[in-house]
Amino acid sequence: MIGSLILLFALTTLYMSATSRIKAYIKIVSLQGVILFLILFFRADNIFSLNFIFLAVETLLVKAVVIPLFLSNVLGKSAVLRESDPRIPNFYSLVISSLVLFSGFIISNLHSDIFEQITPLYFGISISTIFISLFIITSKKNILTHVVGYIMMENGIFLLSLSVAKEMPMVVNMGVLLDLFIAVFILGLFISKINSAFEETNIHSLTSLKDYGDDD
Amino acid sequence: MMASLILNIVVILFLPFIFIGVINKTKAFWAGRKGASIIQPLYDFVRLVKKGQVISKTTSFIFPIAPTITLASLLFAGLLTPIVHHRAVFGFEGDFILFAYILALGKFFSIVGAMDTGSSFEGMGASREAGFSTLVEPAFFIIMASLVAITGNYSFESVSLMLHKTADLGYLIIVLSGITIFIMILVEGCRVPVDDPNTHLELTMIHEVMVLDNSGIDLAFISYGAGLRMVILSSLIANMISSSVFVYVVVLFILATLIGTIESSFARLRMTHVFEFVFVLCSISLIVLSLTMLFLYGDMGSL
Amino acid sequence: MMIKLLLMLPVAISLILFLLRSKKLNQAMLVIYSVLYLLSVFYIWLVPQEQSNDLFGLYFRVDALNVLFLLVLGVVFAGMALYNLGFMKGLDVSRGSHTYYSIGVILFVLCMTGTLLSTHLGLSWVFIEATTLASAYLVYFNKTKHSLEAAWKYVFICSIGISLAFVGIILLSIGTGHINSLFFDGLYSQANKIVPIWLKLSFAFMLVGFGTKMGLAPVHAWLPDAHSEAPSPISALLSAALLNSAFLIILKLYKLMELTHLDDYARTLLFTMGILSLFITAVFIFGVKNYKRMLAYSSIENMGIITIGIAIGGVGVFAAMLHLVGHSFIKSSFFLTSGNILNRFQTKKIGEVSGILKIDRVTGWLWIICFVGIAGLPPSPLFISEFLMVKAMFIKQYFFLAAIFLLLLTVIIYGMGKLVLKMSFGDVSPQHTTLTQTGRTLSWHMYVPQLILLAISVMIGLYMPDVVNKLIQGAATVISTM
Repeated sequence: MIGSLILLFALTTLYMSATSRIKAYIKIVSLQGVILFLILFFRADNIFSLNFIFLAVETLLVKAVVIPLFLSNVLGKSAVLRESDPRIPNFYSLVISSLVLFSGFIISNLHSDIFEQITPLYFGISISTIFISLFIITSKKNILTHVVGYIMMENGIFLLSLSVAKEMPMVVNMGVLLDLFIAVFILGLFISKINSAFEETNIHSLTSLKDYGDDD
Repeated sequence: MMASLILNIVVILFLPFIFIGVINKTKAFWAGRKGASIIQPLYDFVRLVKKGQVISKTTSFIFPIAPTITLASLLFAGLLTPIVHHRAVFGFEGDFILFAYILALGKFFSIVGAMDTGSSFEGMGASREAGFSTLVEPAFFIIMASLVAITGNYSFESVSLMLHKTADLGYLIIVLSGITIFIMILVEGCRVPVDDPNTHLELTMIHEVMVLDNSGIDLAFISYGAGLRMVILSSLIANMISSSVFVYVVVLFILATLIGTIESSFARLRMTHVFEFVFVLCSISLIVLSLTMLFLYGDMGSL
Repeated sequence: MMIKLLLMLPVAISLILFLLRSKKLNQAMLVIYSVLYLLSVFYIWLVPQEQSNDLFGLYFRVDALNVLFLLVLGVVFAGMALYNLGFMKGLDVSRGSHTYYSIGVILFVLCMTGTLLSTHLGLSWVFIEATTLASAYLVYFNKTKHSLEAAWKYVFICSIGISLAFVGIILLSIGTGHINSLFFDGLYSQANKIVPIWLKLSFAFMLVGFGTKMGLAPVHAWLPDAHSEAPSPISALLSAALLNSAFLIILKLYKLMELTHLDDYARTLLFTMGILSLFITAVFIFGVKNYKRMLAYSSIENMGIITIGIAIGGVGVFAAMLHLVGHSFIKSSFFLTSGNILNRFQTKKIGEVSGILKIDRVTGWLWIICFVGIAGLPPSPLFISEFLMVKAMFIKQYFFLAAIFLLLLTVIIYGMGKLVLKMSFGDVSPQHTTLTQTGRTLSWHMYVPQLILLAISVMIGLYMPDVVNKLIQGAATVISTM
């Protein structure tokens, strides 16, 4: 059961790299939050411990509901609904993401003693997700896409922390969530301000601060 | 042996009509119509066979023979696939490789026949069709290789032997392979979201435009061939699930209705997105390969 | 007890400021708090503290290493708070913005203090992330289009970097196996039980992650924008204190690598990033059109030098610590002076500024002296530190490295010097000649902090008092056990 969920997670990352509709991004990120919650649910030994309740609330509520709602809100205010001409055509983006996913698997399956402490399926897919999100961030121009890529990276990191055999200390978990929540909040606020401050209706890259070029 | 041979031939000869008939009936159902009868494609076939042919003067000798070669290759491939039983009638070790390349031969001739007419429209459709086939082939081989590696059997029999591998991972592999082959059906059978068989706009056609100049018995062969392709691939899926006749019929029926439903619910994707969609086959097959490696070399218990 | 004070007082003060919202109170509180802070740090340094066994004592502790960083932070903060008095007079901000600014600064310093004092890797990580979030508003304070873009890049790139650092932490916890502790002491004592491959991977990730916050190339992209668009006192704090805090974490990790005998690998990575930082600065210093950006690139360069110093080892570690101290003082003074120039000329473009000496003698000379300090000419302490580093390179026979190091430094000094001298000397351009006539004077607050900071640096550079020497030595010996 957990295996299928993790695979579903991997398929969502592939879909993310191939599509260019921002609404789709937000829906997929929300779906990933639900998948993570289900994985947590099936994996937990004791579903009534404080740690579990806290994590469950966090994945289900924050990742699957609050943050996507907030981002849709921000999206509604901006005029951009699609990622227009990305730097790499979607097709090659999909190819590269599949290759990254595949290499993640191979690396995590390395048949030697040093890789004993991890569960390969978790590890391979989470590392691939992190790299695929970095790839999405660097190859797309729209800043909302960047934020979604960041959220996906945090999802991958969460999955990675689940793959470690022992529990991460509570403090650290709290720190990650707080970081994610506040960072996205601040980024969303900035996006709203950017919408009103910049004249172009199509937010491409923010490029006015640079060297060796004409500064505004 | 005799019985399975007869069954095989009967299925290959007649099931494609019924398959396409069910698809059309499903589409009619969704559209609120009563629709043509299920064996309407058979009537169409007979009608077309009785008609004469119009052959363009700009074509060479390839054009008349291309659909025949395609059909021949498909029938031969049909004899190689396992229908109902574990093993195909003419199955042998490594038969899936012959299968893939015979199909490729047929596809090659249909493309060449289309380009032979000298029409730029047909050339456009041919190039797109070639693109899809290029992307589908590695996916097919990777999946077959994974199944072969797991079961140790070098023929199509390995598909049904997967049933015996009851580990969690085994089921995942079966499910993913099934999904891949299903998408392959959509690609090879030229269905939505890859290609719309009902479109009348030439710029949006892919397969249809290749057969614009064919008429009479050639056209009959081609439309029958599309159905046969879909039946062959569906048999592979059916074999993954079980090997009884009843299950076989049910699975094919379900697949046909599914294809019809998808055709009624979705629109054909934009052309650039179609290529991405077809590439998804390769992505999923890569995942299947990784899972196979995990299955073989990893700890089967823990995931 | 002092530590608890340092950590809990800021929260109380912020609350008071938030409720009362008075500009005068904000300014006064900031200065008073900074002086209190500096005095407490002095107290912590000079009076040995007993170990408290409660929760605070477990997670926060002062040792020979972070007392140096704390002192630097305290002095820079005090200087910045004093400058702020004069700086805010020149600006026309609303009461609300002013209050948020002051609260932002106090919380920012709190987060940096937390990072410096923390004994737990996870907690350090939390505090470093908190610094990003606390200073986001401060960078955006000018509320222009450019500062919006700079703040966006800052928050975004630093958040990504910190997430990568977290991946490193997870990998480390995979490698530690049965050891279930992320306390630095626990890791040090169990160093030989950590599986090497995981440690290597995690160090790479954490170096990239915390290096983003520190401003090492190639993850330095946010630094020129953020440091140039923030208000000058904030730039000073960012350059002189924040980069150090991130560096402290990298230092502690490096020590872990040393204890597990993986230091060759660590050294290679540190060298790469250090030399790359120097190279990037050398290339980009010629394209800057904004003098604050020039200073920001200089920060990248200096962080690269410090990294190289650590990587060399031996006396290089002492040199790196000295460089850190010197750079913090001189760079903060540099940024504060740039605030003076901005106030006078109302422009950030180098092309439009010339003849500072003619308009404001003190600012002009401060500008030149700061440059002399950063360039590493005697009597700057950076001269001693760079000299010691080259000496260490020669001792270890890294001749090629020394050659590249010196070459890049020279190129950078040329690039910077060209711009600084052009700005200071020369005639005033016509549009600014009115400034000499109106003679708008800046209050003394905007001169004294720089003078004090430069005086301290010169003193360190010329004749280092024994107590300072012992301080830096103490810090260095904590790191290099070899």
